[in-house]
Amino acid sequence: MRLALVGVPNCGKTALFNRLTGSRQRVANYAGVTVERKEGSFVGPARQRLYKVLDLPGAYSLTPTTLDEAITRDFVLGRLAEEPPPDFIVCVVDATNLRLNLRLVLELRDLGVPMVVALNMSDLAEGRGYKLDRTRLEAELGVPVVETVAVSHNGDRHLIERLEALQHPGAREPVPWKEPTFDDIQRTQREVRRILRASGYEEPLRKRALTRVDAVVMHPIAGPVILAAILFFVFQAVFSWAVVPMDIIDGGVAAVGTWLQNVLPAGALRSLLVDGVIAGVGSVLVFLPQILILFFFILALEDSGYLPRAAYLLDRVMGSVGLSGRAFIPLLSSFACAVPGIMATRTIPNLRDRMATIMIAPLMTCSARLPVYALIIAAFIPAHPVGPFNLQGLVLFILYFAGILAAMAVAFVLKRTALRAAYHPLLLELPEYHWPHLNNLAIGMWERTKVFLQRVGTIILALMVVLWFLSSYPAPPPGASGPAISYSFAGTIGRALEVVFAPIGFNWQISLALVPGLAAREVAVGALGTVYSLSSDGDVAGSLVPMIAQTWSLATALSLLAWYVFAPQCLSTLVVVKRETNSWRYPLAMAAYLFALAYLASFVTFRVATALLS
Amino acid sequence: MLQNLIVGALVLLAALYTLWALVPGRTRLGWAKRLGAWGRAPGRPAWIARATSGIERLAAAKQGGCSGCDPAAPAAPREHKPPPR
Repeated sequence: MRLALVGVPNCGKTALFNRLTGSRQRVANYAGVTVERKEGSFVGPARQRLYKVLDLPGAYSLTPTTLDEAITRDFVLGRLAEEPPPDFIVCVVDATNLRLNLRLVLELRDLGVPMVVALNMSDLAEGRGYKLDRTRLEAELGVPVVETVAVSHNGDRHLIERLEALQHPGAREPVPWKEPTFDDIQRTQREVRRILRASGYEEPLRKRALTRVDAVVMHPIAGPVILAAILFFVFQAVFSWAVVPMDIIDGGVAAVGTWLQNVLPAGALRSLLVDGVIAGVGSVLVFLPQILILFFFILALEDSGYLPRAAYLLDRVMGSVGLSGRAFIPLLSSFACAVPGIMATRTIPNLRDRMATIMIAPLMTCSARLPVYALIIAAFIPAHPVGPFNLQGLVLFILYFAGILAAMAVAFVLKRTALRAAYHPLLLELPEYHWPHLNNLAIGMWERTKVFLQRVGTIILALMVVLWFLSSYPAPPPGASGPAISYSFAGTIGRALEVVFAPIGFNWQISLALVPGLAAREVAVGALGTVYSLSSDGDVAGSLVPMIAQTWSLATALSLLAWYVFAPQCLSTLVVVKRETNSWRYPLAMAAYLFALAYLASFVTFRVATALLS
Repeated sequence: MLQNLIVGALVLLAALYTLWALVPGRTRLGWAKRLGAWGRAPGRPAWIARATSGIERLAAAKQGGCSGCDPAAPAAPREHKPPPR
């Protein structure tokens, strides 16, 4: 039996989907997290019936204003050629905000598709003193209504019991539907009010303390100060909290390298394992604690309900460069990874606004860039205190801020040239605050760890082995002086690339590391680990930080930091831009402008730093 | 000699995997389907059919993206136990 979870944005559909199917899809306390259909399944306890569950993007009505809402409408109406319509609809409604949710329920009911209404977050609504005669609501709507608490264990019990009692309705034909007129919408709104009155609905009250919190958090002066303080704190924590776990991982990696060095006989296999695998993969692995600390804060902020408030605060700034306020959430997602960020632009109704947001999304500093920043900062920036801050954290904050500033500048140009469009005011539903769920945080962190380790153990490992081969063969000619790597394939490629990158201060090792960095930016760190390990006199994999601190000038390090602020993006980003825009024009234009900006920024940084430091 | 053989095999495997992981998803799926069809052809040993089907399933799974990307949903359906009485 195929069930579709339908509801307005941020009513808890994905949390219910995860509860029913045991999935771990991403949830957050703001609208627009799910932008494509997700599928899972579960077996009912009473009848052992298999339920296929489809989680659909949120929609306020069946009249779509965005791409993700259109997906939901087309799926429900059975308009998708490759997808049969659902047998049942579970319409998830937010019990704390029934007035907004019931219009969609009435539209779905009028389609005649079998439906159950899930009154989600009923615990929160009860806690805030709402009143509702559920039986009466059931009678008024003419469909079953059950209470659910998607974030609680067994919170889906009533829904499953009700589903188990239903008979399979048989195959369905696509449903005829016509777009409602203004009069239809007004009639539906009147009907919503009548049903709520008849059901004895009393809206839940908001805690006065939360209203006071909002008055401070969204204050035009205090609000931005609080936002800046939060971001400062996050970047300080990324450096100061990660020291101990990073030292432990670094020590472990070095110990494994030394052990292999001692137990294996000299030869190709030992060099592959020590200089290729341990030096390369170990250089990336060491940054796991910093990535996890960053994600801890991102997940906590997502869950708290603060982020839409930040979108509200930044709307004026974004509007001044012509960006839609709706661009905030996709851009925010891009701090984790540009791929989901670009997909989240589906929530932007205007095509030109959407394209502008896609084009600047890679300028947000994704988590894969963190290892590169952290490596260079650790090697060249002392951990001096600057007032209450640590200089390293301050530099990291500046780098993230530089990415945002660059994105704003590019948007300013795009919105006044190729992607000109009228400003669309921000209309955003502010979710209620709540403490982040520890369970969500733990699952989120565990998932990030798994994904990171999986990447380290697959594509990064494979690339390091290939790079080791390219860096070790062919062997140097008899009588050659200098490290063997200079005579290898990698040495030849690096020196060819150095011609292009020498004006911005990059040596051949950095130039070479940029190539595998296209597969994933953090691979550049692993590549530097392998290349410098093979270039060093001893063949034990040492820590990369002191090696680059001795080899590079400060001007080169700053130039590389500037490069990675713009960093011509990874292949995955280009592929997803092609898919989302259905054209090669945008990914090619993106690659070209990012390369040009990165080169220009590095050139200026290198030249200015060289002049100042000489 | 044995060391060189092992290293050669590891490098070859890594190169093949890198190619597999970095080609566009549609191309990868196309290759895997052709391989699967070849593996299921009559007369092929069962282990080849199993291995090529496994590769086909792997190719169909979502891949790519960075460390912040959404994890995929589990493949197996979840079994709900009746609530305790």
